[in-house]
Amino acid sequence: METILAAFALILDPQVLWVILASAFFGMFVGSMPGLSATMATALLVPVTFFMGPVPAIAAIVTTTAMAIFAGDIPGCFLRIPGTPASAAYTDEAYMMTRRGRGELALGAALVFSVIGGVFGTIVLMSFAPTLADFALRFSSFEYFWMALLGLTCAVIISPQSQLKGVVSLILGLMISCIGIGVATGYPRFTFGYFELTGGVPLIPALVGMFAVSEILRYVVAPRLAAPPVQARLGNIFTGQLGLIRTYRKGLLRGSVIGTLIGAMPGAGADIAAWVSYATSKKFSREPEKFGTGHVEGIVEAGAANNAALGGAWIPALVFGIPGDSITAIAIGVLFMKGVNPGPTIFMNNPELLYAVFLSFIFANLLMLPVGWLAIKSAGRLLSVRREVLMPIILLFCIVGAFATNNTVFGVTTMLVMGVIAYLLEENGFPVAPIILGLVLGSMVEETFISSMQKADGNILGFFSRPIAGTLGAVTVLIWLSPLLLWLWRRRRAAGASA
Amino acid sequence: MRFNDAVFGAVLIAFAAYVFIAASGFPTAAGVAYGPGFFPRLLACLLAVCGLGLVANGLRGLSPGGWVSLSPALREPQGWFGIAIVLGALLGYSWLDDVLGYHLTATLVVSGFMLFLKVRPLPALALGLAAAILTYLIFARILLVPLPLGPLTGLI
Amino acid sequence: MFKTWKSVALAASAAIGLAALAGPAQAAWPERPVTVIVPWAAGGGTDATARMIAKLLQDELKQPFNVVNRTGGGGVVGHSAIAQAPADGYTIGVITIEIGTYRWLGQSDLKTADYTPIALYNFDPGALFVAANSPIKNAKEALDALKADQKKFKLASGSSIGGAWHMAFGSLMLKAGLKPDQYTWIPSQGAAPALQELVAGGTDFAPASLPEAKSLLDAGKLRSLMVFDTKRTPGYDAPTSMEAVGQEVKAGAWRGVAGPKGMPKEAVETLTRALEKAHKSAEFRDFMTSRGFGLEWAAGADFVKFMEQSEADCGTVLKAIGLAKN
Repeated sequence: METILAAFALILDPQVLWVILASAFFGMFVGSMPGLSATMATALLVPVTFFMGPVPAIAAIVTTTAMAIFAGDIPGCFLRIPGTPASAAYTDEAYMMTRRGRGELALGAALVFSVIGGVFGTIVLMSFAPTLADFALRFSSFEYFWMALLGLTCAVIISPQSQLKGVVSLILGLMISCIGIGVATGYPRFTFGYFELTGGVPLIPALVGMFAVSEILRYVVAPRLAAPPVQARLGNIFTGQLGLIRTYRKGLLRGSVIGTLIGAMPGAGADIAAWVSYATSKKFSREPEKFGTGHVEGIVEAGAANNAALGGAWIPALVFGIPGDSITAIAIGVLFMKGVNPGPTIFMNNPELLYAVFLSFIFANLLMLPVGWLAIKSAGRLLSVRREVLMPIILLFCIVGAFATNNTVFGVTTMLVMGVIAYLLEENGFPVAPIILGLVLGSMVEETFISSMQKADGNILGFFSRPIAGTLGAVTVLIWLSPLLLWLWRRRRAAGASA
Repeated sequence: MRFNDAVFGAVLIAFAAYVFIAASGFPTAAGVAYGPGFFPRLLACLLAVCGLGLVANGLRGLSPGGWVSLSPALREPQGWFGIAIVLGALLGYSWLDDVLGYHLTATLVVSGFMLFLKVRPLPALALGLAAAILTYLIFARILLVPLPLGPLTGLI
Repeated sequence: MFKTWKSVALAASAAIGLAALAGPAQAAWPERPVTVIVPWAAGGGTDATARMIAKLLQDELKQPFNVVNRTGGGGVVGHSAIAQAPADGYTIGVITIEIGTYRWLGQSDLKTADYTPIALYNFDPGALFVAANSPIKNAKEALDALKADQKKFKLASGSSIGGAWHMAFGSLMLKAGLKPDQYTWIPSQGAAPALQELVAGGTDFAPASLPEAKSLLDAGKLRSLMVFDTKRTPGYDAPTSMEAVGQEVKAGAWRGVAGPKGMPKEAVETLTRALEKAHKSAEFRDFMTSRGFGLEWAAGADFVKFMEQSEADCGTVLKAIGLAKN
C-alpha cells in the first residue's frame, strides 16, 4: 500500500503530469502520421528522455505508444492509409465503413476498444507478470517457428477475394524480407552492391509506400473515382459503442487475451497481435462473409488486441529484462541508462517505479478517451480540405516519415518502389496487406527455422519434440488440413446419404 | 493497368525463376544444412506454383478482359502525367534534398504537385512554403530528425 | 537527366552557400552542428555511450553534436554511412568491433583505411553463461564437456553470426585447444534473444556481456562461468578466464570515434583533445562504470594500430569458426 501511495506521488508530480499530457498529444500526432510508427516515436523520444528521471521517461514512452497505436487507426478510417503497422490488418475494413457513411462507428469502436484492450493488458501486467514471464521464457526457436507460421496463416484467412492472390502477396512479402544481411546466415542477399540494401527493406517506408503512395497514384490517375471527399461532419463517435460491447463481448475478451499473450512473447508485438486477432475474429464470427465489406466486428477485436499487446510486452521486459516488442527493447535501454535494471531486482529495489509504470498505463488509457476524441474531431476537420491541397501535403509527410525511419533518403526511394508495386498489384486484384505481414514475419520464420534445424541436427521431428512446440505445431497442421478434412467428411456424409 | 491472370502468372513464374537461380549462387558455410539460399529458393518454388495456378485461372477465362487492359483513366494522357508527377516528385526529392536543402525541395514537391492538381499558383506556392516550414519545425526542431539544410547550412 | 539537373542545382546552391559564407569570418572547427552517426539502434549500448560522448563534446566545443542512428545489416549500413560521409569534419561516427569482420564475412569491403580513426573509448569483455539448471557448474567442467563430445552441445552465437560475442567465445575455444568449426552454432539476433533461448533450453552455452545478463542472473535463471578479461568486472562474481581455466583471454566488444578518411587535421586535433578531456571527466567515468561499460583509451596512431590488430584477430577467429570467406 505504501508503495502504491509512493507511486502515486511519483506520477502526480506536476512535471510528470505535464510530460504525460505532452506525450499524449505527441503520440496522437505521431500515430496518425503515415510514416511514423509507435516504435519510431519511442526512438525519437530517446534523446528527449536521456536527461529526464526514470519515472517521467517511462511515463512518456508508455503514454506515447498507447496513443500512437490507437491513432494509427485514424488515417486508416479516413484515407485508407494506416498510421502504424498495427492498424494495417483492418485498414480496408475501417475505410469501407467510412465510405459507407459509418465512419463515426468505426472510429468510435477503434477508440473505445483500444482503451478497453489497453486497460485489460495493464491489469494482466499488474496481476500476472511473473507467471506469464516464466511461461514466455519457455519459448525457444521451435515454438517461435510455429507461432510465425500461424501468423502467416492469418494472411490467407483474411484475404477478402481470391485466396490464391492473397498467398502470392504473402510470398512476395516474404521474398522482400530476404533482402539484406540475414542474422541467421550472415550473407548479403539481393543487395545489388548497394550498401543501404544490406540493412534490408525497411518496414515503415514499405508500409507507407504500399498504402499511401499507391493511394496517391490512384488519386492522380482518376481523382473522382479513387477518393470521395472525407466525411467531414461525424456524428457522435460514442453512439452505439455500448451496444457493440454487448454484442461482441466474446470477441473483445478474445482480442484482449490474444493481444496480451502475443505482446508478452518476446519479439512479437502489437502488429502481429492485430493480424492474429483480426483473423480469429473472422474465423469464429457468425457472419464471416461480412468481413471486408465494412463490418465492425474485426475492428473491435483487433483494435483491442493491439493496445492490449503494449501492456503485455512489458511483462518479460520488467520481469527478466527481455523485450516483448521493439518498443520495450528501446524502453529497457532507456531504463538501463537511468541506472535502473529491469529484472527481479526491480520488484525489490524499485517497486514504486514498477507501480509508476502501471499507473502511467492506466492514466494513458483513460486520457486516451478525451484526447482521442479530440484527435478524431480535428483530423476530420483537417482532412476535409480539398483533395488537391490535401494530397500533396500527405505526400510530404510520407516523405519526411520515410526519411526519418533511418535518417536517409533511401527510405524515400523504398517508399516509391513499393508504392508502384502495390499500385500494380492492387489494380490486378492482389491484396497488399499480406505483403506487410510477410515483411513483418519473414525473418522470424527463416531464422527460427534455420536455428531449429541446426538444433535438431536436421531432424524435422524436432519441431514436435517439446510440449508447447508440439501443441502449436499440431494446431497449425490441423488448420492447414482443415479444408481437406472438411471436404473428405462432407463426401463421406454425402456418400452415406445416397447409399 | 490490368493484366490477364495468365500474363501475371507468367511474370511471377519468370520472377520466381530469377530468384531461384540467383539464390542458388549464395555460398553455404561448411556444416550448415540450410544456408542463405534455402529460404529464397523455397519461396521461389511456392511462388512458381501459385503462378501456375494463376495461369490456369487466366486460361480458363476466369479473369475478364483481354491480355492487358488499361483502366479508362490511363487511356488519357492526364493519368500518365499524374503518375509521372508523383514519381518525379519522390525521385526528385531523393536526388535534390541534400543539395537544395529540405525547405526548397519540400516546397518544390508540394507546390509542383498542387499546380498539377490545378490549385492556383499563388496559393500553391504559399501552401507549399508553409508546409515545408511547418514540417521542418516539427521534425527537425522538435523531433531532431536530421533534415538536410543544403545552402541554408549554418544560417538557421 | 538527373545528373545534369543535379549539377545545375549543385552549382546554384554552391553560389548561395558562398554568398552565405562570405558573411561571417572563417572560424575554427566546429563552426556549425556536427552529426554523429551510430550504426546501432536507439536505446542500445552503443547509442547510449555515443549520446553521452555527444553531450560532453557539445559542452566542450559549444556546438550541437547530433546523434543520428543508421541501423541495419549488422552495422554495415551505419559503418558505410560514416565512411562515405563528406570528410569535412561535420560528420563523424561511433565505430564498433564489427568493422573488422565485414571483409572476412564477405558482407562489405569496409576496412580501417576507409576511416580517420580518432579515439577508442570503451571495451566490454564477453562472458560465458549456462542456464541455472544446467549440469555444468563451472568453466572447467564446460571446457571438459566440450572437449569430450563435439556433437552433443548447441552453442549460441550470442550476437549475430560472426559478431562480437560469437568471436569472443571462439577465441576462448581456440586458446583452450578446441576447434570451433566442429561445433553446432545456433545463430541469435542479439544477446537478449540468445539468453532467452538459453533459459528456454534451446542451447547449452551462450556468450554475452555481464551487464546484458544482469536481470536473468538476478532472477536466478542463469549461471555465469567466466568473463573473457584479465580482471574481474566489479559487481559480478564471474571469475576471469585465467582464474577459471588458466587461459588468458581478453575478448569482447569495443567502441571508438572515427570520421571518414581524409578529415581536416584541425578538426581531428580539436576533436581528439575534446574527447580526451571528456574521457577523463568524472561525469563520463561515473556514467560508464555505473552502467557496466568498461573504459579504454587509445587515440590517433595507437587507435589505428589497435583497429588493424583487431581486424587481423577477427580474421583468425572467423577462420577458425569456419566463417571467413577468404
